[in-house]
Amino acid sequence: MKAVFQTGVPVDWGNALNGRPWCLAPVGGKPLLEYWLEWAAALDAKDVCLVLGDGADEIEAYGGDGSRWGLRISYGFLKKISDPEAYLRRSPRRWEDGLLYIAGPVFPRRLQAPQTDGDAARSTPGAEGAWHLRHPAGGIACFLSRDAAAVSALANGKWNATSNEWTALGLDPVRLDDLSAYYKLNMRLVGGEIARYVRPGFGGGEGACIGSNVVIPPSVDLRPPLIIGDNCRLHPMSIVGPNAVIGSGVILDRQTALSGAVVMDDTYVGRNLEIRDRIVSGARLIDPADGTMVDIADPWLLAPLEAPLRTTDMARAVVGWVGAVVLALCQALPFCLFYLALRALDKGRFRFSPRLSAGSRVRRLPYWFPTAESPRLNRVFTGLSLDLFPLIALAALGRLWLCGHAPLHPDRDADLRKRLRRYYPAAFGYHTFHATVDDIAMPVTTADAFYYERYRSVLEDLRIVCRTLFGRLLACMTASSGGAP
Amino acid sequence: MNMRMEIREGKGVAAIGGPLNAAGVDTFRGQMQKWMAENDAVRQIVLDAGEMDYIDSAGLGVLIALLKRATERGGDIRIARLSNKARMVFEITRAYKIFEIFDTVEEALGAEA
Repeated sequence: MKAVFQTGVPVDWGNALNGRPWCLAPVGGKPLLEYWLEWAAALDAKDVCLVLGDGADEIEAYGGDGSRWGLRISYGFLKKISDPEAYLRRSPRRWEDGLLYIAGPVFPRRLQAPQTDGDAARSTPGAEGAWHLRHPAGGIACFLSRDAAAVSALANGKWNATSNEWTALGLDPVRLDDLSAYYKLNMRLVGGEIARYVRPGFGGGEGACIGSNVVIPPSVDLRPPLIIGDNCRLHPMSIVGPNAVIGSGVILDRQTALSGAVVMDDTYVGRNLEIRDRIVSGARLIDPADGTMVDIADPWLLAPLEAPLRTTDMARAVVGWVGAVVLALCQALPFCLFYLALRALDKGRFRFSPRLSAGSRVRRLPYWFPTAESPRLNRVFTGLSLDLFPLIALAALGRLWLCGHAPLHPDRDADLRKRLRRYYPAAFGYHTFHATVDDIAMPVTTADAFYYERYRSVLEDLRIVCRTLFGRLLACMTASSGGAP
Repeated sequence: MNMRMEIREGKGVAAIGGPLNAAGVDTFRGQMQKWMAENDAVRQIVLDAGEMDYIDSAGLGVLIALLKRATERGGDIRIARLSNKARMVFEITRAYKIFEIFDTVEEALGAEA
């Protein structure tokens, strides 16, 4: 079975999303597209084609190669918006073993959480017939079948048969025709249905479903049911819930109350506000009841939190490379002297460890391992950050970033790598702040990785380099003068 | 931003048209203060916001300043016919807790102080 998802079909309420493609609109804290991909994975439809339109870059950046979901994602483009099925006609034989097809904002609502293998089998379509859901105008919004004849009829625009019962598959797909339907779906999920989509090992206990890397001070009042996505910051004395759905990368400033509200990804919600029964998308405030939208002009009230742009990464790359060259030149001579001395006295050595470099290639990176009985010389060596010299040299050669994530282990950190949308293996990172002589190769902290991915900038890089260099030097001097290390 | 002032039933009615934002608050404040000085006997003022399509934090700020001045004189400022968009701004900033908001100008004029 294969899957084709049309993400370029125009949607009436798409303009409410501040330019973000509608298929990435958060539903219950995660993008709609993710539910589709999970559905394809559950159907064992390994080959997924995303047909792109507006927002192609963002969708492609999100989907990647599909390995996060165990899928192979390929991308195509929609040439004729009026006939989305034309894409299927290009290579009709490709879909003969079955097709999951979505062409519009459709949410694959489950009737219950899959708990057993029997449930999984029930959600798999049989060899005959087809399940479909039509748009109000008559076009196909969602289609599922293993029947080659039915798929062929769909591709040729001749599919007129009645749909099988979706409930037989344990599903009730919901069309999101307008903002009201979108809002109601989110409220339905936060009201308890989100438990049907939570991955094994995670829980929605107490009606609260909170993602990773979310900072919640003790004074925040959480009133379930609520859903909070990844990488959010809640400031003191804010009140979240009941019935609040917060997307990923949201900052909620102090003393703000949120209830019956949906906050989309990457949004700043200002101080001392009260948002009830509304959708917030960046600086846009939407009344789901009648679709009224207000663009708030004051960035201290509501504002979009732009994810770091490619220009930011370009600036980081240029500044980082210059910094790496300067550091490498400064460290070259001291490194040679200290390294030769340490090797001659057999006080330590570099060991190579496999790490994921940019582009997911595995590269063996050198890490310094001292011998236990040589604290003083090694302390100076690491105090001057000379143990990082090989990595800095690799950054100067363009093989690593100067600042970024700790290079991930291909096996140990495989799960984290899948969850990171962007990965910047680097010589310096939060992991090098407090590195003593023997913990530089310790496992990476998940929160650090997500934090850097979200808040990376040239200034943050500068802070990391300064804190690493001066922090280690200070630690070395304190230890040498007899103080606590 | 444009505005029109009149006295009805012994109370001032100020009709605001266009957005009340940072670009127009100085004009609005000046006209209101001048009118309030010229009509010192008028204590109650109703802002007819039926034609006010948007308000930002600067607009809210000047409304609050005028309310403070009016209450110091023993009067009050009420808001009538708030558009849906402006009402949403009043709600999220909690300004609806400070002002009395009415659906019509007549209701605002007839309400007890």
